[in-house]
Amino acid sequence: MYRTVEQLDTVISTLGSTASSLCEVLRMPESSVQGHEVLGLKLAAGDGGIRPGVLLIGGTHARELMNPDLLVELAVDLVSSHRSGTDIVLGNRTWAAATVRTILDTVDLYLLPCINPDGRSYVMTVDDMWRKNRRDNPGSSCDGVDLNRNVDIVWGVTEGQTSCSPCTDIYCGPSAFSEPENRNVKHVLDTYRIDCFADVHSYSELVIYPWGHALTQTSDSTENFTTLPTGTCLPIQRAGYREYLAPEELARFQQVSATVVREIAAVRGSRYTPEPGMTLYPTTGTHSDYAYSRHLADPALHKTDGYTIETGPFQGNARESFHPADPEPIKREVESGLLGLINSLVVG
Amino acid sequence: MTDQSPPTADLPAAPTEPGERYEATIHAADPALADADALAGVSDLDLDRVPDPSGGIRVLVEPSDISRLVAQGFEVRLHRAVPVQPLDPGLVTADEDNLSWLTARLRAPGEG
Repeated sequence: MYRTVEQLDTVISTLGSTASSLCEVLRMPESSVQGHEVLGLKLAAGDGGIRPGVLLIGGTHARELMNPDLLVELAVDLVSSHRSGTDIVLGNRTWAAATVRTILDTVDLYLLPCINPDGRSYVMTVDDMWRKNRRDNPGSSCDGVDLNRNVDIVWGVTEGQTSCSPCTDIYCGPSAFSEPENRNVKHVLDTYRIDCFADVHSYSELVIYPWGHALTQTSDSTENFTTLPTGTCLPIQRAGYREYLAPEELARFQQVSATVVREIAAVRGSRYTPEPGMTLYPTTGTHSDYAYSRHLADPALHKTDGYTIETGPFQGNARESFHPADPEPIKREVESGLLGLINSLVVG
Repeated sequence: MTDQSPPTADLPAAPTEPGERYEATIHAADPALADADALAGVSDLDLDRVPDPSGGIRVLVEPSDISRLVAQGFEVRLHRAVPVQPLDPGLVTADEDNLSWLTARLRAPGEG
């Protein structure tokens, strides 16, 4: 079962009003293109001060329905466990109440469960395979911008699955961050200390880390995205281009991804695969690569590790894979993986 | 898995219904060519690609897309119709179920 946007908002608002010592409702500065207010949550316990932060977002692609539900259920489970001292039991994996308490005492957790509310509503009322937001593209009969091609990392470079055509489902929009839904995500990254970011998508059972636009190399730091032109509406024009990732950074991404994979498997044995984004198919302008690229493009910015998680397996057809009749087992295993990701900031 | 591949669709000029759409996989038309080489240009065709369990190219396409692909020499295998339709209402949570779930989960310890 899947919640409507209004039901997701109800969960968020109720958490803010009934668990105000743990939860703060974050009202995003901009409404969606069709005027829906976008709500987020901050979860934290204990003293304030400088603490590591995690930002989890969902609903970027409208048809990937289970992930906004997963994120609000994660929030409710954390609050319930912290208040009552009960463990979070996810299949065969139990997250002890003491561990949950330590997480919330140590980490600031930010959630934007549904960044694309217009798209979700459209899926529920018109087209259950809609992917983009609901932008009315000027001069085109085709609507929508792909929110996971529209942010400022090699934006507008049509490498692989990115397009400058409004009639495609992978349209990057007229400029980087042209879409208010994405500026809201940037606002959270700009405003709070975020050490770790994950954009939760479906499907394929993957834990994805940089990079998405090119193969990764660890030897030549001068071959990096800051030297690439953007907005070209052409693929990368340098033959054999590979994107730099420092060896110790790659090792950390691989280590944390392995932790997420292990915590997912602990629930019921599902085997997610950790891999660079490029492996699925080439992309530009994606949230998780942008989150990680920020400190490289501007060393004054805090470093944020960026992940994309693709929840659930192929279920025999795309429709059932994007919104299976019973998403519960998938949500519970990925909830464990997300707790593993958050906990990686606690245990180091 | 029920993902059975029907015969190749060298699609005739089938009548187009509003909202007509298919889930399909794209293959090299020339069996002598490896798919990876022959399909290198597919990503330039601006299709709605969805993940494929075997690493192939799986897409949601409209009849005009299929005609274009076939004209460019690709083999298109249609797997099923994916008509434009809202989410099955049976998959949408009822308001009262959402509220009762939330109330139960946030009930204070010892509260009935």
